[in-house]
Amino acid sequence: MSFTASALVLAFVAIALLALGLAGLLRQVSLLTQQLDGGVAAPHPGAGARTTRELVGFRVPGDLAAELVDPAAPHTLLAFVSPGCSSCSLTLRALAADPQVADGSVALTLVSAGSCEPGLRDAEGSLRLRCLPQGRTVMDRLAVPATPYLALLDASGTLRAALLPEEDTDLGGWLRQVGTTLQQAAARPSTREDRPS
Amino acid sequence: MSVLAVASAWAVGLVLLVSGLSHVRAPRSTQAALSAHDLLPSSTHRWLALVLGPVELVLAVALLAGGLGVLGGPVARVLGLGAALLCLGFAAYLRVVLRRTAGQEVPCGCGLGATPVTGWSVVRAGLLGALALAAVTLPTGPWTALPGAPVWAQAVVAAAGGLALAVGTAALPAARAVPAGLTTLTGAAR
Repeated sequence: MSFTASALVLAFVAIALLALGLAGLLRQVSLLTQQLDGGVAAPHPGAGARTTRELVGFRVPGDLAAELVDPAAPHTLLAFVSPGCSSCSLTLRALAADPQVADGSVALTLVSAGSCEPGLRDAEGSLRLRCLPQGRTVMDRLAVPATPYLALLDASGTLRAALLPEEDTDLGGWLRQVGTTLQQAAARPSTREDRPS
Repeated sequence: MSVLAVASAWAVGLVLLVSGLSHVRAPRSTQAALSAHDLLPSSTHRWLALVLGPVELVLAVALLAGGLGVLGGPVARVLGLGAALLCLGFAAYLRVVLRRTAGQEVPCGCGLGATPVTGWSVVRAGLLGALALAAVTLPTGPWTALPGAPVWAQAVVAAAGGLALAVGTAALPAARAVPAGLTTLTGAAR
């Protein structure tokens, strides 16, 4: 190999390595900037968030993930509901009728502000269904603005999408759209933390 | 003398020099990391932590001297092969540690900054192994002037390239791995 060719190969490899490192550093700076934007004095990531949507891309704490994420399903849909809320009932019935929820490819976890019975009754038909009663603390931690509210977690517990459903919201369409986005992102790292494997 | 071989040897040599010095200075940190990895028998942790640093330093000096042409060809090759085996061994070891401690954050103990074991630690060790292999397999010999490339120019290119490779490789895990604190909603409030 000639000197010029050797020098070229060397330069390309060095540039590639340094570019990888620089990209990682820029991502860290970007995440830190986002935190600063949420409040300079914010002691923890997400502490400045006003809505769950601002938390998309972050991983829920381990203790919450253990309670909320269904490890057997690739995605878990959190439905934040309150007993006696008619729009919550409508949302849960619509979700239970969705093929992805019915066949268990998306697990459904209800986080109820009160008891679980009404929500479980409405969501009957979902293959992977669980419910967390008295979930106000969880709602507060995840900055849930109102009920009903939906948040999609991936298997690692990373918040992938959030939605405040309205009466005319096509929940099936939303789930399909989010699913497609997640499949496209599957080739990329599963969280903001970039890892080769 | 191939510029690639020299740059590779110097890159691996520099990284091993830094990690070797770190391991020699703080064997207790290495021992703590080995304990956290929980892979090797605990009886071996202490002496491994004591031996690792000097071994890395010897290999580092050999690679740096081999690149300069101070060390003889066969000796440099054998030590370069040793460095390659050490780095590839690290890569395999870290890969196993990564699998066993999935989801946990354990210190790498690599002597290159306080970074946890991640996929990038494995990549770094693998890259260093590949560079050491390149240094061993590519043609070496005395520096000779080439048309349009005097010896000093070749040496400068090799030194700059080696330094860039060393910095790029050593810093890779710290630069790529985002601390869990930045991606986890610990204590997220309203």
